[in-house]
Amino acid sequence: MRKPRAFTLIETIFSTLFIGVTVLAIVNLFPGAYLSIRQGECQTQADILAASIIDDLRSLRLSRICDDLGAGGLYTNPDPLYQPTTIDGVVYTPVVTCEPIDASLGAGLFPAGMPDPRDVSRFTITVNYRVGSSLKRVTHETVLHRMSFLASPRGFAEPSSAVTP
Amino acid sequence: MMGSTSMSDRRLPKLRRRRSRAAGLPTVIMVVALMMLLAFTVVGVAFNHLNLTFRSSNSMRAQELSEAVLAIAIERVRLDVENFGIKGTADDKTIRLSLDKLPEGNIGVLTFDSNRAKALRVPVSTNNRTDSSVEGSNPRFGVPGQAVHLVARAEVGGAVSVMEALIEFPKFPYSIASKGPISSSGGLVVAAVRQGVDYSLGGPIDPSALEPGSLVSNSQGSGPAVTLAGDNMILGNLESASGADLSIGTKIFGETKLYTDPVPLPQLDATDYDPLNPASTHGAVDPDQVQMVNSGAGILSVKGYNVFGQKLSDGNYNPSATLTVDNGIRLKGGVLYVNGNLNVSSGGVSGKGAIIATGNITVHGDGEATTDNEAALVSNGNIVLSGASSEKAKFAGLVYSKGKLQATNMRLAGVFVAAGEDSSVEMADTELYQVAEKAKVEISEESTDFLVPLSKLTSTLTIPKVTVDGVTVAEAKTLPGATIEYDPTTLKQHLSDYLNPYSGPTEPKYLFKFKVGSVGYRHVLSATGAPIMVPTTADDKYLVGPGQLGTIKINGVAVSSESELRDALVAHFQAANEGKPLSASQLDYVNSLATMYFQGDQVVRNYSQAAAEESALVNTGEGQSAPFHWRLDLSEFFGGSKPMQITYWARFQP
Repeated sequence: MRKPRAFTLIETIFSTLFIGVTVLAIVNLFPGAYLSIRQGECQTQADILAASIIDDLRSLRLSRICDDLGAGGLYTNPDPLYQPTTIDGVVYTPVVTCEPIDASLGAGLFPAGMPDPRDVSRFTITVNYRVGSSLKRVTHETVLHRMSFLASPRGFAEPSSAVTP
Repeated sequence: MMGSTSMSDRRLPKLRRRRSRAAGLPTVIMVVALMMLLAFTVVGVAFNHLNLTFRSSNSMRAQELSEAVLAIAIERVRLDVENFGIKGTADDKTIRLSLDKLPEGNIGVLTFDSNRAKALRVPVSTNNRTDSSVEGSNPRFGVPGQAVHLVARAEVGGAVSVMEALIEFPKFPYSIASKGPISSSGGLVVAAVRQGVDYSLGGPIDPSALEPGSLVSNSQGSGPAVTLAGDNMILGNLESASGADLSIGTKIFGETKLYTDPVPLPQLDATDYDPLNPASTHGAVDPDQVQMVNSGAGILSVKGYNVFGQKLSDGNYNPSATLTVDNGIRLKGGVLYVNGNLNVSSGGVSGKGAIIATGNITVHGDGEATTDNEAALVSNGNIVLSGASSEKAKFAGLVYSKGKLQATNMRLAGVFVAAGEDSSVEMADTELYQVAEKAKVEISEESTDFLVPLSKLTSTLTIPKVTVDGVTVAEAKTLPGATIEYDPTTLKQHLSDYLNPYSGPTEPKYLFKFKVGSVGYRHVLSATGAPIMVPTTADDKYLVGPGQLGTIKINGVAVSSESELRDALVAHFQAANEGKPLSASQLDYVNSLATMYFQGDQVVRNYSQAAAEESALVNTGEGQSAPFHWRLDLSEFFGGSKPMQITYWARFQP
């Protein structure tokens, strides 16, 4: 009578090793993926914060911003939007700087001479935050014109004029 | 056989004794493969999430970069709107911007050059220096006159953003602007009328015809610059150089901007428009062209230059003198200059023209304010406009005061400015509708304008009823007329040749002779001032013939001889008669028409009559004896910078 065949020791060891290594590898992937997703979330949050600050700057008078600049063109504003904010346990710290338009942007931009910073200025918004142990930052840069303040409310009606023959 | 077993029976115990084996290596491998698949899915999701994050971040940056390009372009437009985007090379018309704190390779572009736009894959921008709208790169709307359409494209890390903005240069960007405080006790409406929309001031203008109109005060005194009590509606922005006291019933549909920089206001001085002062900067004229006016009952019609003033012993005008008009002023392309004050006790002001006063202007009641009114009220003192509480009075035009501007129970369409050092604005139950075109009043009338509308005649032909044996087979019908056009340019250029040598109250200024058959005729004025035909000698220099009537056209096609005109008339009527040939009698009639039209007898007859009618009007003070040109454009008084307004800012969507 034939005896039922069981796993050999070698098969068992090999299978255990194989599964063990695989599970280990898989288990190691999850924290990385989670960190990656978390990083993405934080970056998106920082981007949104920077964009909100730019929108707010557009609604302020450029001349007043220029008056309130500190050393190095640093702009401070007591509004909570410009202060460090904690969202989902992460602290986001915005830093806003304002600089005049100069030739570094391109000499051909203003052939007649660089404009008055009270008319048009360059803004840099940097949002610093920490994910885990690493310090991250996102930087947004744009140029704002004082007429943005004088413009009609955002959400313009489309121009009504049609071309008349 | 009994007790014997078959072959299958001997195998069965073996089958029954076989046990199922446990899972082996292939199964383990399958399980591991499934787990790996799960792991890679998780990794893939994380990777995609990161990708989306970067993409979203770059998309935001691309929009900010395109808006940065627009900001640069706006400044270039502000500095040189007449030339930017119009003159120079393709490079001069192009803006390229790259910001060093954005990911490498970021670029924002804007160009007014169509070839460069194709190369850069950006819709072309347009600087429209004409007064009418033109096609832009967005097929959804045209670029209005005196406006700039900017389109900027930016690319950051593969994400693309295209933004557009429309910059307009309104003649005047506000519904009402004051150097001093603005107050309303209630019932204030501030809005603007959409361009090109017909409106009536007989009642509140339909909201569908309105767009935002703004109110601005430059007052930086101790109290709030703007005080609105009761119920008020501002469809646009409220801008104040200091604070504002707004009641709960005040609705502001735009933005409330407090502590703004004072806005530039135009600076006019009424005395600069004195037609009798040789030193005036805006049109001193020959005193013979000026008519003096006095106070009186009735309607005051203003055509040409009219001046009021009471001279003092020292030769100066009495600044306290008042011109009182009891039944309204009708501006008929004229200017009324008042040395002192003007008081219109009823009947209001309407028409096309200007009233300029060194003192105060007070107007009660309304005129026939319509969309084509172009009236200007300019005062170095106060302006008071008032209607009745039962029915608001109307005024359309430009109101400019260097003192107090007060409006009560009024419906106003135009532009309203109080720009003096001590100016203020007080309103009660007043609707203000900004119509930016009213910031410019231009009167340009030629004394021979009466010739122009008469230079087009229509020639008809009637086909009589057709009967056969007493039975009507075709009814009479009048064929559609042919249009015969003359060009009075030559006549107008040599008008002095037709000055009437006869003088007298019945003689018109210009003498045009014409023929009816072989008899010459002309027009004179009857005792009642109506034109009448009288026979006269013809065949002299006053007889107007084909040589003076310019190119004759029939239905837009020029003809150079009587036979050409006849052939064209025949062709026209035959075509109108379904191609049927004209009968002999009809052809004779058309022949006579051709002769008459080619000689121009009919049109000269009309000229002659109109010249007599115009002279009759001149005699009564309503006609224009000399060309009259006068203009006031508020936008010219802003000094260095034209007012600009961003009227559209959005993502480019064709």
